[in-house]
Amino acid sequence: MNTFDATIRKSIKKWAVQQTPPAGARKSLLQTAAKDSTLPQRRAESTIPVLPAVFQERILLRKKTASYPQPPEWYHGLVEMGLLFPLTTNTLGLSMIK
Amino acid sequence: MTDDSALVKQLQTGSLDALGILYDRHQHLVYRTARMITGDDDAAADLLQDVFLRLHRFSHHIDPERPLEPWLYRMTANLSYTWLKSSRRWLRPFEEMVEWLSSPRKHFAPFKPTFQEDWQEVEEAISRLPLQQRMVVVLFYLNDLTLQEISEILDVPVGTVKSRLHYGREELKQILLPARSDRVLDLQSELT
Repeated sequence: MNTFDATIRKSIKKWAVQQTPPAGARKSLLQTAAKDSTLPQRRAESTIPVLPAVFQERILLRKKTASYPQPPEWYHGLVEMGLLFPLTTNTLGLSMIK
Repeated sequence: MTDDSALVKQLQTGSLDALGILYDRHQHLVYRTARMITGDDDAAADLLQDVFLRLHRFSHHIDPERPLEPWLYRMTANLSYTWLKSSRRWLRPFEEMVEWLSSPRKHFAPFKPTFQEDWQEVEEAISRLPLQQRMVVVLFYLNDLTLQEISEILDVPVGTVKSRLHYGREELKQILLPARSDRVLDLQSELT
């Protein structure tokens, strides 16, 4: 590892030890999870079998090729003028959803 | 100590105790990753809850024989990405335009008076990286993951991870190194 990497990593580790989840987050999580367990939807979900891989692939493909909402016309004008950076589409958010 | 695999199996039977133990064990991993990607305390707290609620809700879809941490990283990165995209989709271009108009150069790192505040400077620099690069940089430097592991978590080829890390690193150098040399000059002038 080079010096720059080592310096960055050291700084980030210093930063990380100061980042602590808020107090009460655990209690809140367990309360919500307890409520969640009693929902009919949750019970129904637990009985749904996992889809065979081939269907999962098809669903993923459909999500990846789905059209995205387009920004308004003025946005393209500003991009052409170099005032804005173009939006990029990324399927990361979709591809990881079961 | 019960391992993650056994706890996931207990979670699948509806054990909230298992969820609590998994939360205690992995909360910092999730919170810090979300906090560094989003740059927002409240969002990181919400995402922390969301990740563990999904762990609970979708526990039946998780293979207990496989390590849990990659699943947590993946869910955290995915939800952080979604949060940033949904909350800043229209706001960000305006922020970038204001920053571009008001800044004398593309990336201006504010002067930090002491060397003890290095980590704040680095956090600020990372928050300026493009989202795709930021996610790779966070997973690489904060979580000590390998390129291969990051590739699997983000579901992109290793070459893409390598490229994003390279450009992220170069961007960090551009932001941090001028600020550091300015600071050294400033400290030198104070001493003379």
